[in-house]
Parts: sequence; structure tokens; C-alpha cells
Amino acid sequence: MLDHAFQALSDPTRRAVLERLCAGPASVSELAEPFAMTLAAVVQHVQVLEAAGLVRTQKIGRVRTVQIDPAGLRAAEAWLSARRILWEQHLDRLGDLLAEPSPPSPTPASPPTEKE
Amino acid sequence: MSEPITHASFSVERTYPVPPARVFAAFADPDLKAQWFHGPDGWTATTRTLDFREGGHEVAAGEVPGEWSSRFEATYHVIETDAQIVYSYVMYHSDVRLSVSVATLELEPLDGGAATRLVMTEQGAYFADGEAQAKDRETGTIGLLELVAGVL
Repeated sequence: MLDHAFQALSDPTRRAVLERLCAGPASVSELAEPFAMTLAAVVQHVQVLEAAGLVRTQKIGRVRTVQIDPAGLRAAEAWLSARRILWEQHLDRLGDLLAEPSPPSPTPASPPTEKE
Repeated sequence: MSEPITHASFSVERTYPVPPARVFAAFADPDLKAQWFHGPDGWTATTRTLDFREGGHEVAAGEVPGEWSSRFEATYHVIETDAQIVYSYVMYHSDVRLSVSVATLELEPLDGGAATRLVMTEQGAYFADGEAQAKDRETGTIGLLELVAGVL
């Protein structure tokens, strides 16, 4: 499921479709408008998103409406977000260390890469 | 069936008001690196080795005693002083393998070398089952962030 979600999110058009859907449900033709794509191509993208559990679709009469499936989106984002946040924390701590006035040197003899 | 794998990539950027040589030293020097590259509060290191050269290995293992353990195993592939570091690494949480990744660190001098832009890019294979298993071992109470943070 996560695997499918990330595969689905790897395509810029599908990410744009998801962004649009964050504003609310839309019909397939509404989704197609901003893109220079055929309806059939949009339908294909929507199918990939649906298979990944990221969106749900519903056909009423002749109009197929697409909407975000929040549970699927959260699962996909959580794992990567967590990894990214970990890096953010590490690099912030590195920033704190580098903000100290001079290289803290418990081994004053030779800071390893000072070259000046 | 083998376990499902998620492939992903992301970048994190920082600008530090120090020359590239100081940022580089924070990765190259074991004492400096240990000051920022560690687990969350309550985590203590059990193994810590850093052989910072191309082909060299790093291990940063630790635990929150009685709760969980973590292990980071890396191999350095590219090291260009003050400019570039590329390493691959495997992350374990309580002996469950979570991911195999390539991390690329690029340092760019700014303001005539007075400051440094650091860009870290990670590309990885993430084992969703590993994540689930690790969570199970924590009796489902641990959050994703805690889980990943627990690895380091």
C-alpha cells in the first residue's frame, strides 16, 4: 500500500491532481482543465491514485467525481516525513554545534580539517 | 513473498554561518560528530566507530535501556574534503531492518567562504514491513517519528 502510494506520488501530474483535490472534490473533466491532456489520460492517472488508496471516485449519472482519501495520504506521507524530520533535527543540532564561537576542541592539538 | 519496498528520495537544506571546513569537520571528526549525530533523550550509545575515509565504515548503535535499541551502519564511498560526502547506510530498530539508503552531502561556500550551504539528499529503499514489525515490537505505542528517531 505504501509502495503503491509512493509510486503514485512520483508523477508530477498526479501530485498536481492531488493538490487540486485538496481544495475539494472535482469531476474528471474539471481535473483535466489545467493540463494539456486528454480525458483518457487523466482517467488513467486517477486510476493509479485510486489503486494506491490516495483518492476515491464515485460515478453519479455521467459524471465521475474524485476526492481525496485522507487515510491513504497520511500513511504515505508519515513514513517519509518522519525520516525527513529526523534529518532536520540532526542538521539543527549540527547548526547549534557550529554556532558555538570556536570549534569545541577536547583534543586541542589538531582539529581534523582546519587548513588555514 | 519478499517484503514490499518503498523507494523514495528527499533533500534537506541548511545554511550555516561558518566556512565549509568547519561543517566538514563535524562529519569527519568522531568527537564532533558524536555531539550532534545521536539518538533522542534517554538514548545512550553502545557502539560508536567512525573510520572516515573512502571505503571506511561507521557504526552508531545505542539503546534506551529496557525499551529499544538502534543501529546505524554506514560505508563511505566518496569523500571530497570540505565539499562532498556520499555514503550508504542501513538502519535497524530493535534488530528490524528499516531501510537501505544513499546519503549525499554537498557543501557549497557562500559569502566568499564565510558561510556554507549544506544540501543533504537521501535516496532509499524503505521496508514497510520492517516499519510495521518494529512498531509491533513496541506494542504499537510508538509513533512513526519516535520509531525513526530511535534509529539515531
